[in-house]
Amino acid sequence: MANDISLQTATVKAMLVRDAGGKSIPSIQSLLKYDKYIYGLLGLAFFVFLWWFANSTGVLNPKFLSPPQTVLMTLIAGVLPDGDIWPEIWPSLGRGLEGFAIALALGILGGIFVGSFTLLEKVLAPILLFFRNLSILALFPVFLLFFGIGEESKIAIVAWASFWPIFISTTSAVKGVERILINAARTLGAERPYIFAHVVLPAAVPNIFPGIRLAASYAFTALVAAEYLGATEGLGIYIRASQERFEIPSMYAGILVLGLIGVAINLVLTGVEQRVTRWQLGITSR
Amino acid sequence: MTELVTGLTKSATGNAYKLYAGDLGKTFRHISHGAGTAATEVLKGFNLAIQEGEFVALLGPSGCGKSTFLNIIAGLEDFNEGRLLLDGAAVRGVSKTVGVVFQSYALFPWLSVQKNVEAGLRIRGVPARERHEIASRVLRMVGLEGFTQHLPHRLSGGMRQRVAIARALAYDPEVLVLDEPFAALDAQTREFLQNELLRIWETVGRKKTILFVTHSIDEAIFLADRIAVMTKRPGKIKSVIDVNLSRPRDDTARATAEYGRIRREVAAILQEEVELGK
Repeated sequence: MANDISLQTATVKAMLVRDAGGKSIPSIQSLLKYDKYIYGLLGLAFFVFLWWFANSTGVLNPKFLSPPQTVLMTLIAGVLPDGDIWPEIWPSLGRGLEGFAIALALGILGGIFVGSFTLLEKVLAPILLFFRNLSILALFPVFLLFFGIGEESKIAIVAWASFWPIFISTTSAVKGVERILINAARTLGAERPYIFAHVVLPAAVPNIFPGIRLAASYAFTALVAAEYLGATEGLGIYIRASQERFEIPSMYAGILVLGLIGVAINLVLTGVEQRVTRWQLGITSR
Repeated sequence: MTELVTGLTKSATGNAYKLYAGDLGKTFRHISHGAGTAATEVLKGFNLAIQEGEFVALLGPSGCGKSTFLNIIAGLEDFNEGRLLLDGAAVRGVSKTVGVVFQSYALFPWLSVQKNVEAGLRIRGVPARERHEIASRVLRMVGLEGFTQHLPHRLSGGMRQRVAIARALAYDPEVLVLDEPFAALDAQTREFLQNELLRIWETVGRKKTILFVTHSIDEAIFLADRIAVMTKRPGKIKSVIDVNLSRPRDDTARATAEYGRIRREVAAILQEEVELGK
């Protein structure tokens, strides 16, 4: 199928060369600009169709997998201001973003610090290696012990989970900053704090961002797990409670909301990344 | 010639000079596999004195330590022996009255040309409007007023090096040191920038003291008042040669008999060092 489409594209382009004054052809041409979205929509439509098809033919048991239209209706009803999902979104989003923000600040600061001092890195290496590879689930009881079963422990768990990718990518990004840029700043009279904030950080940002995006997804994974542990409100507990009450469409609606939050955060982060790394256009293959 | 060298080092205190290096020595220690620590002596008994407003070229065989000496003046590197005086006072670390231009430009790629040139002023806490004015003026001086909002990598190598020179001049340093600044450029651009550098140097009110590191004899003669030729490693000054070509200089200077004479003299000294190295 892909072959057919590229063939068509080639034909359209060839026709354009011959007949630049054509009327209907430029509109196809202008559509080609949005090919990424068009193909994406096609893929999405195909996925929903499969979902619906599997349901209506009974290949998958509708009791376990609700049909897409039912899930969508439950979702819409749920996220209306008086719906039952709406009040669950904000506690989760709040915890997730708070934990993520803490991880962002500590991860970048700590990463710049550890990445800048080789000795410090050597001293800390074994400890860091131990903790970064430790399962977050194993640490849950520890967090409960320290922070109780309230909000703090959940935020701490999210912060812990998203700290590591940010910290690790920052450490290596800082080590990758060209020495000559730091030397240039020093000869201009800059002291350490200025160099960290105005040379090391901007030079490292493009390589920190993959870690930040990974951290955002870790944050919400950890959040749901933390909410399963015990919470009175939040999407994690909503999904689990729906399943226990056997309100399966609600369960899927909750999962869908969580997934959409993930997509939205990723879009926001990609936008921010493009803004702060715009200067790299033309230097790298971005 | 030997009198000249001694003449330059006669002042015991070095107070009269803008820049004075007396018996400077630098040894790098590094851990080598198997043999414990090894040491490389890069500079030994290095003597050089530069007057205020003088343009001195530092010439030497590759690996002789000329860049090390420049890094010491820039404050990027420490030294083990001897003295280094700037305006008669000992230098330790980065001096805010020295401007440095690197061969690889070392511009901040995320900052516009304008912001790059403003960097040194910003570090010194100059208010935004004032530093904008100064940077604009310096950029006009180097002929880049039409490129202030460009990012460095959108410019050619020669233009980038002009930005780097502008950045180093913006905060008005007393001494400007340049580390093979034109070595990576093509021949035409190099000669154009040599002319530009002289023009800029001669336009600024009080002439800056310049130390220009190069491995090109022609560049050294065309630009400098005096040429300091180094020995092979461990490097020290072998001889200092006066360049008595009238200023302002232009391309016709390259065709004079005096130019040819100096060229032969310097080439002979360098040749000696290269052969000693073999």
